[in-house]
Amino acid sequence: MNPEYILRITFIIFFTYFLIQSIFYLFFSVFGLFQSRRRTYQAKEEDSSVLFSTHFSLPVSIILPAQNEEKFIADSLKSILTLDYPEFEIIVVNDGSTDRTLEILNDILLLEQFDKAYTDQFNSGKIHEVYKSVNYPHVTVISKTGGFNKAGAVNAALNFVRYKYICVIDADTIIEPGAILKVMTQVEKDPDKIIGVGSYFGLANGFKIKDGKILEKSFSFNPLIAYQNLEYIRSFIATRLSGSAFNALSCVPGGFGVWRRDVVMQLDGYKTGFSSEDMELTFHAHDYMVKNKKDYQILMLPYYVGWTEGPSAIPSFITQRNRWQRVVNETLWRYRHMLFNPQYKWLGFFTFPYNLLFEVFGVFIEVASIGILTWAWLIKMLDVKIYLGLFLFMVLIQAFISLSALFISIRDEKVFRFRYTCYLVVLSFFEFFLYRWIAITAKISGTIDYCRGVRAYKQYKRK
Amino acid sequence: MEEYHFSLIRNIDAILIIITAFLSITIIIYAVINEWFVGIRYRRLSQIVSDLQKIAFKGNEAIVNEYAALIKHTTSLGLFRILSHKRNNPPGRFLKQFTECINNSAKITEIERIARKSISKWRRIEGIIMLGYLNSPNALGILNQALYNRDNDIAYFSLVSLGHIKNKESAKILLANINNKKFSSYKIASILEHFLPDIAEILIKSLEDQGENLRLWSIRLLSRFKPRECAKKVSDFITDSSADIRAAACECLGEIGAEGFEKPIQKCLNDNIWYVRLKAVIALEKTLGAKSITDIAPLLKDRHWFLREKVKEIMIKHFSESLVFIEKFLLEEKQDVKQSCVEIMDGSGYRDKILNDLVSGDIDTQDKAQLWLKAMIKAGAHFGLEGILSKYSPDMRQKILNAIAAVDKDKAEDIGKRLKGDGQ
Repeated sequence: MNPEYILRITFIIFFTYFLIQSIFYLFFSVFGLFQSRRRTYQAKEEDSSVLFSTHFSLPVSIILPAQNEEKFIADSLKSILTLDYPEFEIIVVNDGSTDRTLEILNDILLLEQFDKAYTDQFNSGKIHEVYKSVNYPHVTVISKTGGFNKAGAVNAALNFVRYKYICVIDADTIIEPGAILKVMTQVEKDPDKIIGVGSYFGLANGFKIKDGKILEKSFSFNPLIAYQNLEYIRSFIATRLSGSAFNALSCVPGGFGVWRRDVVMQLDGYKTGFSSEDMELTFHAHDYMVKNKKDYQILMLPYYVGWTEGPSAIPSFITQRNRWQRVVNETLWRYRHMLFNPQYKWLGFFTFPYNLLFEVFGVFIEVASIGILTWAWLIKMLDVKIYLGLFLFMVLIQAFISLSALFISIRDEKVFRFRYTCYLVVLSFFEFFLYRWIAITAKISGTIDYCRGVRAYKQYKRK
Repeated sequence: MEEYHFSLIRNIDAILIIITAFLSITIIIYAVINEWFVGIRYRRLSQIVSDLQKIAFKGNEAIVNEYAALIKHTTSLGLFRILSHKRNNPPGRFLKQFTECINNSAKITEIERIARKSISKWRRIEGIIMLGYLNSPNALGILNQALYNRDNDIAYFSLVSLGHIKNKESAKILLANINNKKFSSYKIASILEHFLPDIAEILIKSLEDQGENLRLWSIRLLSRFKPRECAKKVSDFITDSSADIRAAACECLGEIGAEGFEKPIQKCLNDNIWYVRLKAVIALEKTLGAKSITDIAPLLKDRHWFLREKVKEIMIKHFSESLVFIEKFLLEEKQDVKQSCVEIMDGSGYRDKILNDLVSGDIDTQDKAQLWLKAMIKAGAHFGLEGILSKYSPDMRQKILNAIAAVDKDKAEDIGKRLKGDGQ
């Protein structure tokens, strides 16, 4: 094939791809801005004391799956125990931990073995023991065999939950005291319709935490962490918040997600065959509700409900992103019938194509375009000025997307101090030089692993 | 061609540079202004709150005059911040005087205008919320009208604001909207729950309404206010076709603790729906206390685990009345029922008592304890025995192990081995 022809095609693909991406993000950002504003005001004007002191609140079963979480489980559990919410139970699942997780749980909760008859309704692995806490009667601990991913741990807990709503929280997440109250205030507005709710959470790296309480929110200046903070903002505001406005949310985050139990039961619990459970469950819920012609809503809220520990080293980061990429591929393949299907409305025509184009194929388009352009420049088919111009174009598009999300974020959720905001502004312009390539590596390795049939929930190493 | 491409890319890049630079500067300026502005706003509000507290200590005459002056110089947004946050409210009874002063000032006209027709939606909502706190003469009319606003947020916050005016008129408006699909019944009920008990008569009247949802929530709310005079009317709903209403009726009768209504509740113990049975169990225990065990104990065999747990809890509470049933259930085939009996014995401390009785001096007590032990071991009640036994001295422990061996030799050996392992 004629090299000039290849270059011309690459040029067209390159520009079209970035043009579509910009339009998508611009669209998402505008709707994210309105949605964020609305929800922030709603929370500000709400009198949550009514919900806090009512007999008619919707009680919540909090599920905390934990596998080898000896470093975080104490703080995470303590933050949940002190939640401001009138009625909730906690079910901790010790998912085959080989470290001191169970011992730490016992120290805090003072566990007592509890012989409870139950029906194992879902694919969850063998449950060995059930414990009740002597100190906190509303806490149950289940000890089970590992090997069914996080989904299996949540399924095990589903056998024991009592309340209409479940809230799944990661064991490395510190929850804000008002988290459930804020989320359930929204649910209470229409409990018949709202089946799932997610909300923001950020990275706790650098925070001063004691006994499950955040003493100081000092955000980490480690570039890898700061870039992840920026990416979280981008993802929550620019895609999920606006997706929620059209009832086309692609993922209720696994770190903190509230679901109506009857819906999860109808879905036969969480699917254990996926690398991760959050995105699959969200698509499954959409699919079930649409197929059964039920009126429903899955919401994303712009309130910081919790803080999680992000990977602070590159190999850990790649391990985590590898898993995220796999679950995107697995879910989109499993629910491919939604693509451009009018039944699924915005999900089929907007969220799904977006994920397919930018989350699955995007990385290959970017790498191929850059590779071909570099090759063309090396063989002197492409002028250096044009090559650098294109490179600058990519940097600026990336910066534009990050900055618009950052602007919405600092406008509504005032979590970053001035210095950190400035730091994020500066970092936005350099994302393309290193962080982007690490993320690309993780995505490519995730796609390769997906094709190889890897479905394991690999936990990355924490500091 | 190449020149054309270069010029195209250069122009696009130039536009992008301008946009990103503009965004960056905007973010930085916004962050600076925001930090500065938040500080000023906080200091201003703290000053007003502190002034309010100082005035409160000066005596009644000063309060009226100085409050009026303070209100005049405070913006409606400032007043909103004072009224909507409890920590900013004037202390105790002075809040009422403060709201009266606002209602008598020119500010109330401005607030009502904001609540009626402010162009900014959220400013309007702040006005609406303030009206609820102030309960001005026109408040009910404005809020009632706003309930039907097309904008869901305006309608919702009007509902919330009506909840601040805790009188019969606002209760009527709120109840009338319980069938309105725009609002959640849960929300309305949680608001009405904080009203004074004198709204019970409105709730009792609502029991005659045709709408099932209104009847259901009226009963649920009545169970919070507990007016004894409604017991008869509520008991009629025990046979309602809706399971939710039957469950709510049971709960309400239990909360009222109305004697003479046990029979209708007892009927619900055989209901097809588990949560109706559950509410009936709770209601019966609340009404009859320990006497309810005769009716409740058979539900230890219920197919729903949550109900069984509740029955277990009640049987532990009234253990001596439950003992006769436990003795009977331990002889039954079903393993989970036996297990529940053991858990009741464990929860009530009876298992420890049996072990103590086994090593007591009295022969009759020992024989009786031996019989219980046999029933327990046959029912598989050996779980956790090693934990309990480890508290005893080696002599006593051996005596108990011998008693266990008389019932089941293997089990005694197993427990003995585990105890030794524990000791090591």
